[in-house]
Amino acid sequence: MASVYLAGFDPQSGMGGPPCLVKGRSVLKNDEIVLDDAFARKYHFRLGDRIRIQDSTMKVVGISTGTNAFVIQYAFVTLQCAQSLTGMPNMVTCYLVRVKESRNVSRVVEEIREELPGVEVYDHWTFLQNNIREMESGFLPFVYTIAAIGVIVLTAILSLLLSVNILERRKDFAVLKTLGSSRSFLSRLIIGQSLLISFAGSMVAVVLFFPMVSVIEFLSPEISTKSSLEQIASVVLTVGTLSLISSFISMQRLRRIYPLEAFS
Amino acid sequence: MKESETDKIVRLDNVTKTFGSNGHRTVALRNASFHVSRGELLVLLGPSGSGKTTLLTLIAGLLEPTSGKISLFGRSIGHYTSKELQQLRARRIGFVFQTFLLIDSLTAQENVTLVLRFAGKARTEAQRRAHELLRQFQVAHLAEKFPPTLSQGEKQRVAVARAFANGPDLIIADEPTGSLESKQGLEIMQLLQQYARDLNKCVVIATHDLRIAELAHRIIRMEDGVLLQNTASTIRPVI
Repeated sequence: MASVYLAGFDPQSGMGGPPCLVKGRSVLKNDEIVLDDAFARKYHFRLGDRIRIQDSTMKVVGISTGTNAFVIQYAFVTLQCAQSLTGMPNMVTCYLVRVKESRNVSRVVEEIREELPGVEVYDHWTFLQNNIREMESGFLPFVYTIAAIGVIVLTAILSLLLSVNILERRKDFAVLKTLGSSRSFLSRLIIGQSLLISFAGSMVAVVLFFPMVSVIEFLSPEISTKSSLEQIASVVLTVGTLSLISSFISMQRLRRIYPLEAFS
Repeated sequence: MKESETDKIVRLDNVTKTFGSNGHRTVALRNASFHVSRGELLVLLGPSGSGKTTLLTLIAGLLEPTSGKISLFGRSIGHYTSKELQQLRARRIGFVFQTFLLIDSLTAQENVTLVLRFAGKARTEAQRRAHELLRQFQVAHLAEKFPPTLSQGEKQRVAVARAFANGPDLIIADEPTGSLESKQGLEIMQLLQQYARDLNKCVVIATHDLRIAELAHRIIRMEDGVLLQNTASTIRPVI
């Protein structure tokens, strides 16, 4: 059993139907359905398959994209079918209004509000912003929390690695101090090492990123990823910054190594 | 000819060093007074725990005396800033350790190059000088080898080359022959003796080996942090 959000629309106008079909066609009859691509892949549905929703059997006639919202996916049926499935024959939750090019959208919105008081009316841009805001308030904090935990864990691990390395080479650092190395030389040594580790790690991550994305999308089709060069560069830059912070943290250990230790 | 003050590289006046707090106070060095001049090889001779290493670290400015005064190159150590002391160690003091203490992750040549870089030499100049020193110490063929692959004698030759690299006015050596066979130890002592005598530099060595001490210009015997005897040695010719 799987869950999908059903959207009923008028096949005659096509408004409110699947925004982009990648396979098949849109629905024409009441026993036809268009499924979201991620949903179809996850549950292995193909064109021509028949799926059962409550007591009705529907034929998959199309696959759409742009209808996956990570936690939910949409499927499209005729309005009549949706009303029948919900058991509310006259129920309509929203109307999409196409405004003629000669008309001013804001004016049309005002007119609808005046004609139908109590009905919420949004123009396309406001509707989009509302959706984005809802996404940001619900989903993004979760992503940001995971990212913040990642930043803290990465900084801690890198600091720990560098600190262990400093302690393992404690005698070497004591000797370098005895021989007259400047504080800046030792700092550069630690920073260089930290940047080298983070650069190597970033390169491995970049190499592994695309195969891993393919695996994830194969295992969980509802997770769709998009990445640009700018995003990858900003991640590498962030890792570089974190490595600098880690090297400054681990440098505290360096300060507690005394040249005198070379003689012990 | 009378020795002038400027010839005195190191001078100690009633220097005492104690460790620990009142409850567990250990006197590592008690009222030490002596000086070391240019051209001199001084040996601090004494058993383990007699305060030799403490004395060396005081001379190098790595420790501060509890009381008394130490002058290095004619200036009280207390008047040097930590930055000046670091530069002094990089440019005017060379170090030789018992266990060589070469950096294992660097080649023999890089070990020598490193101290030249600390002294402010340009990279290419430092590399050229390092190679020249390794050739002088007959270990040029080991320039690209890493310390763990070298024998004890080879390691100490590289370590001495590192100590001589910047032509320091003072060399501080802590048991430099302690990890070597007697023949190799003698060779190292001869190198140090030549350095002091021929280049008019100053070498201070801490050792418990009486045979090594015989090559010194002067011997200071130590026991329990006290300087017992300060005698001129009969200098043996370099073989």
